[in-house]
Parts: sequence; structure tokens; C-alpha cells
Amino acid sequence: MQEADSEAELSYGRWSIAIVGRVVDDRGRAAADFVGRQSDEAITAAYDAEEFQLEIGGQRLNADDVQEYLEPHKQRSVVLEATTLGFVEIFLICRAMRKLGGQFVTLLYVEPRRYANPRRSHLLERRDFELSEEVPGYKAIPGATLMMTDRRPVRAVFFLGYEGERLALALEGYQMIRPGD
Amino acid sequence: MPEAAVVIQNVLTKNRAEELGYDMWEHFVLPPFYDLLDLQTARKPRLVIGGRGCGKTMLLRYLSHQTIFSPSRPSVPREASLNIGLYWKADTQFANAMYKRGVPEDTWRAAFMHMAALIIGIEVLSSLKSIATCRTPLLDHSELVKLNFRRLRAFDQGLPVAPEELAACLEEKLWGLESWVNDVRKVQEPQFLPGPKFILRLIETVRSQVATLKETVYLVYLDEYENLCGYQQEIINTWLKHTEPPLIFIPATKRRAFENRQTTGPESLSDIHDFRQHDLEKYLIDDKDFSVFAAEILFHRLALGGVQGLPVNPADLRDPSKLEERKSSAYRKRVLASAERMFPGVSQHDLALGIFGDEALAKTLSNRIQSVLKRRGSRMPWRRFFRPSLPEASIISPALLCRRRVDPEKLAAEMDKAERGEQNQFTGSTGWIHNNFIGCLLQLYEPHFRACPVYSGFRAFCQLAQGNIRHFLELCHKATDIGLAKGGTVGAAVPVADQAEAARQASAALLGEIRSFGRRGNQLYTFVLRLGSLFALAHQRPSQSEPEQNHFSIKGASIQLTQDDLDFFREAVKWSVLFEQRVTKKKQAYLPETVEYVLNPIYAPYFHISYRKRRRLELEADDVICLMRGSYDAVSALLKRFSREWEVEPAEMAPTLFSHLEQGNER
Repeated sequence: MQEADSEAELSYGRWSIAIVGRVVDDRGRAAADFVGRQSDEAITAAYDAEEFQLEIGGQRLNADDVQEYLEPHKQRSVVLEATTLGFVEIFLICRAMRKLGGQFVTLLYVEPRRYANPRRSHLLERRDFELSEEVPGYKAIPGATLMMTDRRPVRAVFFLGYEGERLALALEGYQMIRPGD
Repeated sequence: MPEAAVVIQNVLTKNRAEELGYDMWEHFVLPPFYDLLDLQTARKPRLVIGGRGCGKTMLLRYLSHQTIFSPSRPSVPREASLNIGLYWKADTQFANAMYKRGVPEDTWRAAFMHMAALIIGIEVLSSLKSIATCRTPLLDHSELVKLNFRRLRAFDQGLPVAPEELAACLEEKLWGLESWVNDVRKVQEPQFLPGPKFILRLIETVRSQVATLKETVYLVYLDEYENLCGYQQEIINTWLKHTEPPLIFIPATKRRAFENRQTTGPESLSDIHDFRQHDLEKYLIDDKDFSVFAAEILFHRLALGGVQGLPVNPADLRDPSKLEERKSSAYRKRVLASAERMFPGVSQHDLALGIFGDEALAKTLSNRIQSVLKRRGSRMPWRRFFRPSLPEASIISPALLCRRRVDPEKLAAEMDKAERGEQNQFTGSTGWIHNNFIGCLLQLYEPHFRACPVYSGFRAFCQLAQGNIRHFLELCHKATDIGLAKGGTVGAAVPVADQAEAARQASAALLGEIRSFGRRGNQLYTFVLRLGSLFALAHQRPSQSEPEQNHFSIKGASIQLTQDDLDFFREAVKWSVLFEQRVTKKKQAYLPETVEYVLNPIYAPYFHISYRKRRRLELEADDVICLMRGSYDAVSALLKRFSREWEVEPAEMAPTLFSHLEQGNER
């Protein structure tokens, strides 16, 4: 794993194919442009949690069929642009590549410098007051679906990102989870 | 903290049914409306409705076999075996994965029915074990092991015939279903069992072989029905439509969440004909006994924590035959008096004296009187309105002086009359004190941003909780937590200031929880912040012409609202963030019937507003839309417009709450 403040400090070659997500800001654009320049081909991928489908390289597939789609790419070097891709896209592609025996997968992530700064705490912050987006909540991902029940012990790992309240969302929605047991 | 205190805190913090397991015998307090419920004896479907925290899951788990045949129950009546409750809460994340993905819908339907057959089947078999192992076994163990389920092989040749093996096999089939749902392409599709048909045959087998259970009816309590997919709800609806003994389905949902009435056939479900409703929250809110019930739950929890000398007997609280006794006047008085001793409130007069006894608050009051007299060009001495002998009247005097039609001289004369004990407008039919006191008191505390004692007291806690037991216990928990941290003892009276601070802390914590309220949690949270800020602004009106506004209606009905906006309100009501009520007092009789939305009073201490339902704010549809989905700048402009309209000076707004709205602030 490499970590650096600029492109110049990284050591990398060319990739056969870059998979990028939806670009929503300058950071994502810079990251997508970078992997695009360094790859022979760039395709986009976006997951639709309602339909359990992945739109990749202009095709819409059921999440269960990602492995078949990536079969021709299993020997190629692939870079996943993780700044723009979401968790599910990365998970589905990595899992499929692993099952296919793919050896050459790289992930790139560009973190804003301000994430490293400590956050100031106010009673009410402007971001609290702004309109927040609708969240789909926890949805099963085909291939990683667990029947949660409190009749047998289940261990789960929560990927919270920078939003700790996502754990509260899980505990509220899935009350069979009893923390501490 | 001493060990006893830690135990108490633990029993007060466990306030969700899920944290207590399935056997609720030790933990359950029969609600006062228990005799209105006929869930155990229902022969037609019932629908249980209730908001978050009203005790829905607790009740359903109490009615289920793990509690009714609990090993902790000293004796189980024979008739308990006539109706056996089976609790089922589907994992909706898993159930929702049984959809689309290139699998035909009829396959998913069959898979869902298979899942229901497995889960309910396991529960039926598990109930036999509960019955055989309770303290007064109604089923002999030898009878249990002799049970033979050979006839179920008509569904699947591989099913074992003995009960324990059959239960294990159904469990394994559930794992098999889980594997298939995970990988529908590679894993072989299981052989699906046909839902209720399988369960009915299973029940028939039990009834035909166990004499004690030959008349038994099984009631499936399906919790959180609303989170199932549309086609799954339609399957359940079809079972509801055709439900009859010995298998009855009783779904439970949040408010306004039973909208899908479709079945898998051509007929839809119809209310009353196909099912009856039990609205638990309504029973609790409407019931004047909520405060007694809340006190009983509090004392029951303390009893579980080992506290002695409490006014309740835990065994009586779970005994249906004691319900009437619990409604007697002497009992109610005793229980309420004990709760009020633990969480003492403050009378209006003492609230008023508290202002005069506090240098900073008294200064705020005198400054306000002087300021308004100056604004009105009056040369009257401010002390004529600042009278420690008339604390309530003094506190509302700045608001009255702000009203143009109130002449300062006449107002002082009314105070003189009050001081002499004569008829006056403060205490007489004009009811100046009655109408304005709480609003004016909150206003005085606002700049100091200290917790106002109006939020303290057992009765205030009950009003803040509004039928929500979880909220009530959270208030009690925070109050005792502060009390114990300051050296108080378990069960002793918690000082008023600590209770008020606890109310504010609980309110802030519960406000933060809104983000986790479903897919629109973030939007609901933002909306409550915006609405609460607007109400806080309304409370700052110097004249208090419309005091204590904490609910709103939408002018000109809701024609401008989109389907998505209406869906947003449905979510707000479903999660009890807002309560929807029919308008009771229309300002003009010719106006059409409409509804008003009341902000859940638990959020009142955070915004420093009144929790009493007094005055309504009538908002234009555009303003409501702005609060729901307007940009930050639009909401900022809206608040500024209202502050101008209500003549609220920026200096009068709490800096911590509104600082982000001031010009030049960092974004």
C-alpha cells in the first residue's frame, strides 16, 4: 500500500482497464482523470440498490452476474477508482475478480486533506441544518446476505465512513441486533 | 458510583423489548388497557398499531409462548394452552433481498412462503417445549417425544418424524434458504414448503396427537409488517383475508404504515370486515391512566434493581386479575404521590418566585420592563411592574406592556388590584397569567440558556413522553444519573434543576436519534431542526400575542404539496416525529376541515419551547415546503422574515441555536 501527498510521490505503471464511479466533485474528477490517463480503457460502474443491478461499461447486469461479465478481464490489470466508486461496486467487483483468480487489482483513493483536521463541535452545525439526502438504509447485497436473527449469535462489521449515525440506523432498523451480547 | 446505583442505571437503560429477550415474564407490566385487547382470544385477524417506543414489541413478546409458559411464572393456568402465541419479526434486509435479481416473481413468492413455513414451524415446535418445561407442565415430556410427524413427508420425503429432529431439520433448511438467496445462480434452488398449508398440517398433527392441545389455536404475531416488500405484504394480506382457527395472523405496524391492502387475489382487505385495529399509542395517550402506568413501570424497574419500599408489588403488575384494583383511586393516589416525591415538580407560583430568587434572571426581567417602558415613551418607574409580592404578574408584565392596546397606567392599576386581592385581569376571566405565564417564563430563561424548571417533575415527564414509555424511561434514567452523580441516593428525590437538565439532555439525545428513522431519517432530522427553530423564534415574540406555539397547520389545505411531500409527512407521523390531529379550534368556522401537526413534545426542551399544546401556527404551504425541502439560504430567509414579522430582535435569539443564520458566518 502506498500513501502520498501528490501523484509524483507514487510509483505506478499503466493499467489495462480503469473502473470509475459517478463523478460528483472536483476531487472525484481529478481521480477519474488520473486513472483514465494511465489506463488503456476506462469504464464506469454504478450500483442500483433498489434493483440489485450493476450498470457497468454501458451494460446493466444483475449483481449476481458480475463474475460472468468480468470473465474476459480476469488476466488484465484493473484499477478501481475508489474515490468515485461506492462500497457495493468495489465489493462486487473485488469479489468477482477474486473468484476468477484475478491477480492484478489496484485501488486508488483520494482523501481530502481536511479529513485529517479535527472537527469543531458546535451545538448545531450548518451541515446539520442543511437538507440531507435520502438514505436507502441497510440493503442486502447479493452474495453477502445474512439472515439476521437473535436466535443464534451473528457477528457483523459496520462500515460507517464518516457518519457514525449509520450504526444507529442499523440498530434501529434491525432490532434483533443486541449490542454487547 | 456505588454498585446499587449501577444496577439501577442498568435496569432503567434497558428500555427496548429486544434488549430483554423473549421471556418477558419478569419485565412486563400489564398496560391499563389490557382488557380492551382480545389478541389472545382473537378468531379473526387483529392489526396492532403503535409508534416507536409505545411497548408494541414488549406486548407481542409477552403474549408469545416463551413468556406465557415462562419458567419464571409460578403457575400457568390450564387455559393458557388454548391460545399459543408465536412471535415473528422478519429480517427485512434478508426478506428484501428476495426480490428481482433475474429470478421470476413467482419463485420469490414461493421462497417467501417457504421461509414463513420454516420460521413458524420452528416456533410451533419450540412452543411444545415451552409448554412441557414450564413450572406447571400442561404437556408431559413422554407425550412430547412420542409425537410423530410422518404425515408431513407428503411435503418433503426428507423430513424427520420426531419433533426435535424435525425442528433441527427446519433450522437447517433455513440455512439452505439463506445460501440460495445469497447465490441464486450457483446454489441449487431448495424444495419450497407451501407456507400456511405446511403449518396447518403441522398444527393438525400436534392437535391430533396431544389431548391437551386438541382445541389449541396458534396466533402468529408478525412484528414490523411494514418493512416487508410489497409482494410479501400481499402474501400476508391474503393469509389475513382467509385466516381462521387454528392459525390466526396478527400483524403489528407503526402508525400510517398499513397502506397496502392488496392480496394475491382480486379482493383487497377491508377494515372491520377482515380485521380490527388496536391502536396502542392511542389507548395510552387517550388514557388518563398513562401517568399511573408510567409510574408503575418506573417502580417495577426499580424493584428489579432491588430497591425496597416501593408502592407496587411486581407480581400484581403482571396479573390480569389485579387490573381493576390498579384502577382504584387509593392505589392511583399512592403510586402517583410516590412518583412525584421522586421527581418533584414546581408550582407556577414557585416557578415565578425562582426568577426573583435568581440575580441574573431577576436582572433580565427588570431590564425587559425598563426597555419596553422606554420604547413606549412611558416615564413610569419600572418597579411598579417588578413586584416580588406579585411574581407571576410581574413576569408577564413585559409581554403585556409590548401590546399597544394595553395602557401602562391601567396595567399597573390591575397589579394594584391584584395586590389588594380584588378582582383583576391577571387572575380573573381575562386570564392574563393563565394564558401567558409559561411563554413568558421560557422567554426569561432563554438568553441564559439554562434548563428551565418547567421541564421538571413527574407530571412534566409524562407530558414530554406523550405515551412513549421509552422516552419516559430515558427521562427518568438521565435524571437519576445526574442525581446519583451528584451524591444522591437511589430512589431519593431528584432536585428540580437536575431534572430540568436531564430533560434537556434526553431531548438532545432523542433528537439525534431521528437520523436513524428509516430512509428519510436525515430529512426528518433536518425538518425538525428547522421547525423547532421556527417555534423557538415564535416563543421569543416580545408581546407573547400567540404564546406557546408548538404545532402547525397548512393554510389553504395541502394542494401545493406533491406526492413526495405527503409521503414525507406520512414518514414523520409513522416515526412519531409529528402527531397528526384533526383541527379542534378553527379561527373561522367556514374554513374546511383540516389537520394539524404537533411536534413530538420530547423535542421541546432542546428547543426551549413549551410542551403543552396551546396555540397553533398557521403556515403557508410555501413555507412548509421550504422547511421540508428548501435550501439552507431559503430557510435562513424564512426565519429572518418571521423574526421581522414577530419583532424578535436578533439579540433575543439564543446564540447557540441561531448563530449559523447570522450574516458572515462560516459555511
